[in-house]
Parts: sequence; structure tokens; C-alpha cells
Amino acid sequence: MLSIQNLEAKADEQAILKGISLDIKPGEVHAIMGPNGSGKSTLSNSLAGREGYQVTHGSVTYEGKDLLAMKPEERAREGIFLAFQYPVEIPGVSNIYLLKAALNAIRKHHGQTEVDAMDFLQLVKAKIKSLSLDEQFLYRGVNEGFSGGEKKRNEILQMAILEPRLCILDETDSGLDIDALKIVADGVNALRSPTRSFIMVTHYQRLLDYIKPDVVHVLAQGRIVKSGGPELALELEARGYGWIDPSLNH
Amino acid sequence: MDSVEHYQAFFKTGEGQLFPWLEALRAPARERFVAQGFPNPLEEGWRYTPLRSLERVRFTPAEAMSGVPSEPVDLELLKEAYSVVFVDGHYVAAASCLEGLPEEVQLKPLSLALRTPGEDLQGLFEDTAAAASCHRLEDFNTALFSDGLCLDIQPNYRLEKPIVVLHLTQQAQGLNTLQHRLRLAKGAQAHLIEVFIGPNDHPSLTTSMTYAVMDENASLRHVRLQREGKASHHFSGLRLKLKRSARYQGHLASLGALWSRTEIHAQLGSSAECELEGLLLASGRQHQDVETRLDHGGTHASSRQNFRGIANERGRGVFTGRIVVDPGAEKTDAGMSIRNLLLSGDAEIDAKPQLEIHADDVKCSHGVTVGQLDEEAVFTLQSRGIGEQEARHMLTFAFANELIERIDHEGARASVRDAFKATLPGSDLGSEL
Ligand SMILES: Nc1ncnc2c1ncn2[C@@H]1O[C@H](COP(=O)(O)OP(=O)(O)OP(=O)(O)O)[C@@H](O)[C@H]1O
Ligand SMILES: [Mg+2]
Repeated sequence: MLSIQNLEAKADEQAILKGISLDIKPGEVHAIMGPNGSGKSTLSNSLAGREGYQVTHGSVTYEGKDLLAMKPEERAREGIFLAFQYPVEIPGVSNIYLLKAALNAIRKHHGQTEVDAMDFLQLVKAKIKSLSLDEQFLYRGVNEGFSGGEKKRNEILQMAILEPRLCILDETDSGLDIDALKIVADGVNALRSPTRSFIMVTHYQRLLDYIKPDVVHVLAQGRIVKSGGPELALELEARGYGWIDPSLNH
Repeated sequence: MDSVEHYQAFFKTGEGQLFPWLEALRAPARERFVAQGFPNPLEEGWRYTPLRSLERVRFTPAEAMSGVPSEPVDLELLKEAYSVVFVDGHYVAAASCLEGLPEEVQLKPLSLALRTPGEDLQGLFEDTAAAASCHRLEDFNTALFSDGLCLDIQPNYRLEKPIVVLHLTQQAQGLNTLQHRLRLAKGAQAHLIEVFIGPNDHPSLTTSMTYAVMDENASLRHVRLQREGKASHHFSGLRLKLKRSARYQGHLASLGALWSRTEIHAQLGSSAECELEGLLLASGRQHQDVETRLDHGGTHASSRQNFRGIANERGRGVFTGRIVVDPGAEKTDAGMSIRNLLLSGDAEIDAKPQLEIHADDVKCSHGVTVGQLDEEAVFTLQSRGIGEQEARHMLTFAFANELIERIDHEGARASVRDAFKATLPGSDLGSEL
């Protein structure tokens, strides 16, 4: 599904990613852990196509296509979804409007007609309920005045409606209370399928108790320094990052 | 022939016999305009809004039309409302509907009132000619006006159905000059919705002055949508006198015309409330000017001003907001916010808030921002599959829509929203945000 080869990227003229290679097959869940500032969000943003992140080397192939040649909206329409670490507030654009416009843009790209208004409302109401968010949130400005945890759940709501093929979750678990973490994990698990893959950036092993990863990677100083099974996350939780590479000792 | 000579030929004279009070109003205005012509850019208040393009064209008053306008007047708004339609500055009875007005409400076109013997208009004019003329564009209007709306509401009468006033321009190079006089007696209520519409393909000049006196506890809601044609010039002024505890709530959307200036001046008595919201959009080479002046003359009065400007391409916006708190006007509460959005490097908006405070115990605040679209928000929308251009339109519309949403009349809100969407270049947005 996704093949990253030797990816190097700069942010603001500063080299951040220094040769990342990663292969993700359909249905797989890859967890990415690593110290603050190691480049996890930079990787996520580079995959989503955010401006300001300049790929200087390497390639990314997504379902056989050159991902890096695509505009952000094209990537989204092709099924890439980034749940932001820091979702932004968009006053004046209601949540429901964004959901509908986004869904229709994606449908149009795939030669489908616009969603029926009633069907859409039913779908959205069912999903929002499953995320324990009040229906009122649909009519508020996107993330406007939402609490940190509500913003994260709102990202998952968008993901659930848009049904992407590759979901990138950048610290979606940060800032969630214990119950919300469970709700979000259930939401993610409900989306798991043999054709849908996940990249989950997290600092906490706890999330991985709820969403079992196939592979765990450690990103440090712009490189993947170690990969392993779910047990790697447990080990990191117990021992920190220092044992992998002493230079990572704080 | 210079422009003053040109317009002099159309001055309204010879009314002195029948209406000495009207002649007394017009004569000094005529004199000032003849002596000094249009305001020039060296004068206070006109530096950023030159009248050059206006003076270049010789506009001519249109004849009153007979029958109904050729353009369909299809506004949804006109349903469920009393409607007054002016075409090229003249009242058109066939397109208006004043049926069913209660006797507590006097509502008639000025042109008709002036032809009705025994009509008591003097009171309406005396009372509302409160403030002296502010400048020679106002004088120009006073010297020339030929029609307008006279509204007089008896004490404590609440007129629920809105009055929709439609100003339609048809004639090329037409000169439309209107003066409206409103008087709301103690405790009276009204809801006025004004729309200015014109074709894009030829220039015209519309000047429209509204003088309103609101007695104690009277309340007026007012929506004004200016969507004149792209080559036209537009000037409208509102002079409000709010007596004790009177309440004015105005929503302005200035979207059309090549050159547009809107003035709102209000005198606030004790405990009066004045709420002004306004949106301006300047695209292409449009010039949009909004000037407000609120005079807090009594204690405990409050005013809220909330304006947003959007300039695109080579558009130019000018805001001047002046708040004056008179000596003794303690407990005044005045707030003004002006937020601007620049969508291109060639666009420009100047915003000048001015506070003049002569009392001690007052709360006055003002804030001005000028910014661009939030690129983080643009990217967020793109990352959900929405194209970049559409994302930008969506965010621009959202910026405006936050104000539009606050118009409580559904039909007026829809009209402003539709007009905004139609005016914002290249937008293709869904119905509701
Ligand atoms: N736009 C930018 N301009 C300059 N520096 C940037 C930019 N984006 C990221 N960086 C820098 O790149 C480095 C990696 O940042 P990144 O956000 O990818 O880290 P992270 O692994 O996601 O960290 P965290 O766990 O704290 O979220 C940091 O040192 C950061 O300051
Ligand atoms: Mg990060």
C-alpha cells in the first residue's frame, strides 16, 4: 500500500528526516514511537503534503502512484487521512459542512454522485454518537472552542465519515482521558479492515493495548532506529529510549 | 461645463410657494454645493475616498417610469412584507405593496406626499433635519432629492411585518437621489430592509440619505444590502437620533458598485443602544468606504460596532469609526471591532478608529486587525479532499458568514448571503456553512 524509500525532508531549511524507509501492507497497523522532536510529525505531514516540508531525497509510492507528486487534496481523495496532532480551529465553517464538502469532493473524484442529504445526516449522526460527542458539535465551527480531547475525537469523526485507505494518527491519544481513549480506540478498531492501513504515532504503550499494532518503529533523530513487534512498545515503556541508542539519553 | 454647472440644471427649485420649509432646507444646501462643489481629497474624511471617478461622468436624473420595471423584481424578500420599490429614483406604485397598513403607521413615498394637499410633512422634516449637513455630498443630495420614503409610526405601535425598500437602477448614466424620513414615536417598533440593485454594464449614481428620529424606547431593526452594478457609484448616509432608551440595530452589507461610501451617524441619548454590524467586499477595482460616527450624549448608553472587510484583487476598503463621548455621558459603554481580510497583495484596507472621550466613567474599546487567510486552515481543508481554491473561498465566506448569520430575518439573511456568494469571484459554494 505504502512504500517509503530513503525519505529525507527539510523543514525551514533544516534537515529533519534523514533517510526513512518503511513498507506498509494493506490491513497493517504500524506504530511509530520516538522522543520529542525526532520527526514523527514531520513524517506525517510530509505524507499529507503540508507546505513547508520539503522532500529533498527519496520516494514515496502509494498504491503504485508517486505520492509526492500529488497535491494535498489529491492525496486525500486517493484515501490518505492525517488526524492532526494539533487540529486547527476553523471558525465560521461548521463541522457538518466540512464533512459533507469533504465527502462529496472525494466521491466526485471517484466518479460518484453527491451524497443524499438524508442518508448523510443519518450516517453522521450514527458516527458522532459512537464517538460520544453531542450532535451539537456538528453545527459548531470546526474545532471552535472544542476542548483538546473533543478536537481529537472530532478528527476520528472525520476519519470515520471519509473512510480513508491509509490513516495516519499523529498522537491522537494525547490529551484524551481514559474513557475517551477507549472510545477513540473503538472507533479506530471499527475501521480496521484487510484493505485499510494505519500509521499511529504515539508516546504511550497504553494505546497499543487497545489497538494492536503489527509493527512498532522507533524514530529518533530523523531515522528509524529500531523496529519490532508489539513487545517493543512494552520494552520502551519500561526502559525509555536510552538503551536503543545511548545518544538518546536525555 | 464643470460638474457643478451640470448638476445645477437639475436642482429642485420653485417649491417655495407650496412648501416653504422644503425650500428652506434646500436653499442653503444648494448654495454650499454651488460654491464649493463635491468634497475634495484634501478635506477631512475624504482623503482615502476621492470622488474623481464620480466627477468624471455627468449623471442625469431619469424620468419616472410608467408601468412595472423591465427587470424582474423577484426578491423572495418582497413576499410577506410591505414593499416600496424605487426605479431610477422614482417610486413605482405598480411594483410596490402597501396594502393592509394599520392606521398607526404612515408610510408613503415622498413624491406622492408632496402632491397631496394638506399633507403634514413639515413635522417629519423639521424633526429629522436634526443635525446640520456634514458635507457637500449630503448637500448635493438635499438639493436634488425627488423621492423617498416617509415613515411615521404612532406611539407604542409595533410593526411586525418588515418594510422592504428596493432601489433599482435601470437607466445608463442615471442619477438617483432619494431622501428618506423616518419617525418612530415613543415605544414604536419597525423593521426596515433596504436593497440597492443595478445592472453591471453601465454607470449610474445613487445617493440616498435617511434621517431617522427615534423617540423614547422606540426600536428599529435595519438591514441594508448594497449590491449595485459594477460600474456604479453609490453614496448612502444614515443620520440617527436615538432618544432615551431607543434602540437601533443595523446590518450593512456593502458588496456592489465601483465606488461606494456608506455613512452612519448616530446621536445617542441616555440609555440608548446602537448596534452596527457591517460587511464590505472590494474586488476588482472596487472602492468601499464605511464611515461611522457615534455621539454618546447621554449617560448609560451603549454602542457595539462590528465590521469586517474583505479586499481582493485591486480592491480598496476604508473604515473610519469615530466614537465621541460627550462631557457628562458617564457609564457609556462603547465597543468597536474592525477585522479585515486581504486576499491579494494588491488589495488594501485602511481602518481608522477614533475615540474622543470627554467623560470619566466610561468603558470604550476598539480593535482593528488586518490579516490573510489562515494557511493552516487552508491546509486542513485540503487534507480532507477539498481543492485549494475552494478551500480559500470557503474560508473567505466563513469570515463573512459569521456576520451574515447574525441577521435575524431569514429572508434578508439569505439575500445577503446569496449576494455575497455571487459577488465573491469564482466561488462555487454550497448553501450553508
Ligand atoms: N515548520 C518547521 N520549521 C522549523 N522547524 C520545524 C518545523 N517543523 C518541525 N520542525 C523541527 O523539526 C523537528 C522535528 O519536529 P516534529 O514535529 O516532526 O517532531 P515530533 O517527533 O513529532 O515531536 P513530538 O513528539 O514532540 O510531537 C523539531 O526539532 C522541530 O522543531
Ligand atoms: Mg509530533
